[in-house]
Amino acid sequence: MVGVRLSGLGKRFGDVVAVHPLDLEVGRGELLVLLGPSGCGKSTVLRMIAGIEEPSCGEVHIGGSRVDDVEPAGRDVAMVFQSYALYPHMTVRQNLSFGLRMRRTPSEEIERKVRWASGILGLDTLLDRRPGQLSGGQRQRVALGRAMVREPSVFLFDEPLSNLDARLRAEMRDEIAALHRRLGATMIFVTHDQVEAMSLGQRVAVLEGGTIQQCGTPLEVYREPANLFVATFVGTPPLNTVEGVLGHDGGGVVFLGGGLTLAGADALDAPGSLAPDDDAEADAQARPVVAGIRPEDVTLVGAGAATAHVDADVLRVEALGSELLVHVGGAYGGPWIVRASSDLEVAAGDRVGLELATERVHVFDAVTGRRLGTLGSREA
Amino acid sequence: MSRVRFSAGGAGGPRGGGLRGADPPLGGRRTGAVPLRALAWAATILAALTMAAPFLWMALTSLMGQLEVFSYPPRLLPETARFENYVGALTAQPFGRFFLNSLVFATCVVSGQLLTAATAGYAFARLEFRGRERLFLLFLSTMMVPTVVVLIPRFLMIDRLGWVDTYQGIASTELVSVWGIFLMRQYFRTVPTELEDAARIDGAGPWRIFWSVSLPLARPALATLGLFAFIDAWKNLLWPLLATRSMDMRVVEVGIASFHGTYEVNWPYQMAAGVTAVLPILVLFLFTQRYFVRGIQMEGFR
Ligand SMILES: Nc1ncnc2c1ncn2[C@@H]1O[C@H](COP(=O)(O)OP(=O)(O)OP(=O)(O)O)[C@@H](O)[C@H]1O
Ligand SMILES: [Mg+2]
Repeated sequence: MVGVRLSGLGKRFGDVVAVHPLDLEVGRGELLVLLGPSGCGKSTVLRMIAGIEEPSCGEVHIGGSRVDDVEPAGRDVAMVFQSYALYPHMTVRQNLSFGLRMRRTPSEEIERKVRWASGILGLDTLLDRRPGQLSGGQRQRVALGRAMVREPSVFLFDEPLSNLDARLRAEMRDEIAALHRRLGATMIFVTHDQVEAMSLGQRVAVLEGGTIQQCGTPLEVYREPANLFVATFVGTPPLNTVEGVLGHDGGGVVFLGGGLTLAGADALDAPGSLAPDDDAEADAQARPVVAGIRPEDVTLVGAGAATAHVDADVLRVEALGSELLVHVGGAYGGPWIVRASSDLEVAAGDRVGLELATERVHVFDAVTGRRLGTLGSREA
Repeated sequence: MSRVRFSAGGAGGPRGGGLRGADPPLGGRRTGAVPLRALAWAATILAALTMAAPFLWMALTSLMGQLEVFSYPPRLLPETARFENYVGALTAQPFGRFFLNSLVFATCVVSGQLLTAATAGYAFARLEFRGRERLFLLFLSTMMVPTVVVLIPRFLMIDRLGWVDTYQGIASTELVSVWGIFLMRQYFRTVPTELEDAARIDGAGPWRIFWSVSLPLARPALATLGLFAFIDAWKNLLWPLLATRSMDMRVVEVGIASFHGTYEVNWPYQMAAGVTAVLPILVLFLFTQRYFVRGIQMEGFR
């Protein structure tokens, strides 16, 4: 069943293209996260779905029917705004019930729904206050409640947690996840915070420059990023990258760059030969690429160890308690960040060896940024 | 016991000037240099006195004898407070009727201006239609025309309608204030559009959004406009003088002016009537001032 379907939906403001025509399907009852940096067009997409922004092209379908000509009120969607947009002159109760009153819901039913929502969100004691007398987290709950009481078929969230502190944000994240489980409604959740996206989304659509870069489960997006942008945007600390060339040496593909030689399996399309005895002409055919590896896929070993691919200097060590984030730099470029066990004894100034799990090294086309695949491992 | 001193080291110093919740923009309350603060206070008090002086003088004069006003050397305080001046002044002419007329006139003007300014201001701020900005500029440009210039054309208009010496005659020309439209437009522009978007999603139509969301939020601007419109109408002399003839249609201001007769001027009576005429404005201000003090009520939007 389709919850929301966008086809060729695009928006331009004058000469500025905010959203390139995009296609996206959100299943009924699915929670999809729209993830992207500031200004990539997330809010615009959401506002077009809600009907408060006129699309320049394309169609919006909700629950199987086309709604481009339907007023926002008739789309059966509720939206939680980035700024909450609570009515400042109304009490919490009035804020919650406004939408129902507009729909001429009988007052007993309004009363029942307001009690239901405020019970779930812990707003019972705040019903007679104005938004100005609430804390940020409480306002956030009211905004959530205002959407809930309407029991819409589609919820739209526009960075609702971005004004909250870290603890409250985690709490509200759980609450939204719980709400989703409880109501089983279709939800589209916009955020620029990839942790939020990964923890909340059943699927994540990564948006950049008004284009969807990738859409998949959080794990897919993390493990098989479609391109360099997705790979570096998703994940903290970010993906470590190094520029170089990709070729083959008879035994399989090989990546050369920044003093690193990484030999992989024979899975990737690598035209030029990089065998040590080949001439320069063959080298020139090698493909310029960017290699990337996650902080947890690099192991710190002793400098000069047999398994080390390259040696590096420790620049800084962040002790996070559960683990260490070791910042290293060296001839290959960097700085890189490596995740290590907090038992490891390492300090700034140390010289270490870096061992890369080649089967986890992503290779991206240097020009287009498209991911070609992973280097793979040679043993097999 | 302990009196407030300006030189006191901070804690006992006067603060806030009585305006609830509004900290005076004088450099740091706690840390600011004391002489600077004293200077600021002196300046404020001086300005306040300058403003209040004519009113005080008016009040004091209203209690004097008719000749006492001209005594030399001039005196500030009346010898004995003659409250009977008030009775005399207010019964010399049918002031009850005058007050009623002024009230009807001012109420019509205030409601008219609030209505037209709120709707037109909202349209200029929020509705999208062709030529909106140009039309607005055209409206604004009429502010450069002095009121005196339009006095005669306006009179001719109401004369044609047979409205001279009627309520609709004096009020109908004053129902639109371009300044008010400007004020409301500016104010509506500060109301976040997301609020209206939220209301649209909640199912409110354009009128409902205007009425239930935008207008309530514009209360400070409405209060400001209402008060100014009231004062303007209340103290308007020239237009009611021109547009009315009979004693029955006179407004307070015209009544006061008529103490200034051709043959004699009764200063104490005129001042007594003047003091009485200021009272409604003071009362109105007391009722509306919280909106001025609080200003934009957008806190709590986020
Ligand atoms: N009304 C408008 N007029 C012109 N340009 C606009 C308008 N609204 C948005 N834009 C532009 O469209 C692009 C996308 O804006 P949008 O608000 O959708 O970004 P966003 O992803 O929600 O960003 P953020 O995370 O900062 O909220 C931006 O470059 C923005 O400048
Ligand atoms: Mg946004």
